[in-house]
Amino acid sequence: MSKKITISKAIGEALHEEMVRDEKVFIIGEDMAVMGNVFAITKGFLEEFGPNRVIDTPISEEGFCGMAVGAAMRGMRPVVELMYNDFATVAADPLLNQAAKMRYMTGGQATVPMVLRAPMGAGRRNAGQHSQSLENLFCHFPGLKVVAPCTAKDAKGLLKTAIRDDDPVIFLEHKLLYARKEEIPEEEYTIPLGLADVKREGKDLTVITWSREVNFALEAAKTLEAEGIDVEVLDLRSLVPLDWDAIVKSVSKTHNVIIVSEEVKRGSYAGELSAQIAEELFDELDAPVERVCGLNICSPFSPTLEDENFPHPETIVKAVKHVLNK
Amino acid sequence: MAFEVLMPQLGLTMEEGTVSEWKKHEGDAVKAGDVILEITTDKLTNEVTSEFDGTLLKIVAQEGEDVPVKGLLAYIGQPGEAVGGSAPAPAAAPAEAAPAAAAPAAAPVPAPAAVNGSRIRISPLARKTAAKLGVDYSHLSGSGSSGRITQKDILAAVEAQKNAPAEAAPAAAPAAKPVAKSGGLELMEGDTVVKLAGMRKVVAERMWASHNEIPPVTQNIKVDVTALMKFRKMLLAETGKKYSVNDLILKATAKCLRQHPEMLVSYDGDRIIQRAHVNLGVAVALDAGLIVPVIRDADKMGLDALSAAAKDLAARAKENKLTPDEYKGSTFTVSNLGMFGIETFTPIINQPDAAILGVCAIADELDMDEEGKLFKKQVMRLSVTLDHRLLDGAVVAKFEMDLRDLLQNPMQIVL
Repeated sequence: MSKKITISKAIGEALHEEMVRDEKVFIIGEDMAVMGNVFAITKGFLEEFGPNRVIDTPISEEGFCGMAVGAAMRGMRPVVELMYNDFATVAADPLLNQAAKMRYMTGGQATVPMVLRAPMGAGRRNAGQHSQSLENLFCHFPGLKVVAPCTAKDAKGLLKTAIRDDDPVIFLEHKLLYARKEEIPEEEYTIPLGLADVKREGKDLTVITWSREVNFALEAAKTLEAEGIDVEVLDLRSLVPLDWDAIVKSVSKTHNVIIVSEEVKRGSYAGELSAQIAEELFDELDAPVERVCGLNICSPFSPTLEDENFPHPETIVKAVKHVLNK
Repeated sequence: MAFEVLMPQLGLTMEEGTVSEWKKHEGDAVKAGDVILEITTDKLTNEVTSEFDGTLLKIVAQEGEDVPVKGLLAYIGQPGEAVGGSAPAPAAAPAEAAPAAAAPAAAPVPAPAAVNGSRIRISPLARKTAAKLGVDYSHLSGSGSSGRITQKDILAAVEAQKNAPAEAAPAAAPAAKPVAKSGGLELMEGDTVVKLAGMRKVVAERMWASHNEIPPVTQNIKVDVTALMKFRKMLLAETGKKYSVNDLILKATAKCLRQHPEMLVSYDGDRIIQRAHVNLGVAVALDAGLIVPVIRDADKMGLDALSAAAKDLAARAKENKLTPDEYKGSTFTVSNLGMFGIETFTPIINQPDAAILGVCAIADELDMDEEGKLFKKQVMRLSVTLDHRLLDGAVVAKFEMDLRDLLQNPMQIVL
């Protein structure tokens, strides 16, 4: 059985099911309780679970992220929401220096089973400080797991797994995916972290991507199919841990790769993947790996310029043809 | 740092261009904006200008060479600078990918120079595949960006090696000379241009070579085929088998050649080769050009077998299913344009044959008998072109007369 719901509703369902299942789970963040979240994800949660488990905070990211880390070390399972992933820089110490390192530095005596939900991505005219894609930042720090789903089904299944995971998980949600309605299973399910998903099989080139760009890659694949180019779309879903086996399998089949993300190209996680592929799979490559990312600029506020600054299906089509020299 | 001069993409559909003329030569000083070479595409001729100041250090693509878009043409840099050891140019970001005529080479550290000074661009996968399949890729041109050899090119080379004989000239040609390069004809409104390639190219090269090497003489003779046509009807009535006029001509020609071995010679530099076999080449017109399958020892075949062989070869030629052996080794060729109503023509010799027989159309003619009475007869002309280096007019005339007599007494053909 399946049902068709928005991605924001799918995320809300995951939170709800886990809060019902485990009373150690609580949610905390700006406008989570009374307002029910900017994207209406937690509407009605305050009434159902009460103010001890659905906590509104002042604008104080470092403070409430620090509280969540402490609560997690003491056995709770906080799910924190940053209104925008850009604010991770405000909460850099609790997230990157405490949560990420606690298990290692205490020799396993303390763990931080928290989830940080962080809306990401451009396209909403939110300007330079609210439009970034910071996968590279989160993936850099050993100790953090990083998940960036595209579909409603993946979002729900992965969030439930993230909440049950004993390590800190950064859960990146693309703002422009929330309103998409998609089919998900009626019954309860989870999806393991670290498993990529082939969203489209192909033999000529692999597009490695995640989050909203998966949809763009699929659109591009359709266009390219009409021109006789058969593209495989590999949705990583989980960036750390990385499903390296899936990458090896796909690249060994197609021998050509592009990596698509909304990040600033310079220093991007896309670049990290490109390097790994060049190092490990050199002999499988028939052309240089190409990164298809945003430009090395601050995300513009002007709608025209903003839309130019992240990969679109046409950008992907062009890059695929460039790599295949067609 | 040396800069690369790359084949520009002129228009969306351009895939490769041909280097037609280098305006600058190795060692010449060039300034940005200077015309350094001319390239031709399937559409037109274009000048390629330098984007850099410096010296033309090395010409990589020679005149006449086909180079894919973005393929390497030359290096420009400072005198004495090492070139060719550079890594492939970094892939430009999609947003920046302009159809630039040249991209700077990323060569911060001079790599060890290759034997001939130019490093072969080949993808890692292609190199691995080449090693596995034992392919020598040093002479291949790559289809990847910057002319990189890709796996596809290696696999194509393996395929080409397998099919190499099939792509050879219709008959073993004594080193056909290339057709003269295009002279840059001016195009007029509405003209279209296609690249000379495939079978057309082979035909062009071989006909050009034959026409330029051989002093040809064409001699026409008239044959009364009234009896031949009756004989054909008689065969049909007697055997129920329908032989074509061409079958009978092939049989007669084979028989007559056996009696005239002087016709079966080949010119080979300072030697003349006397051919032992009557191997009849039969020109077959195809959509893509012309091919000449060969009936071996045609003089030893009965009419039935000869007719069947001719039919089979022609059918398979049209389906492109001939094996290379089947269009090699002719010692004499027959080209029949009779079915098109051609009265006479001057066939071009299919080298290394010394002569070719052109068969023309059959037409009614009035004649007068000894008593002055008019009667109708059917006639056909035979046009034989001979290689005057080897054969003389009178010698070939005797062959033509005997062939005529044979055709005029058709029972002799099969006896």
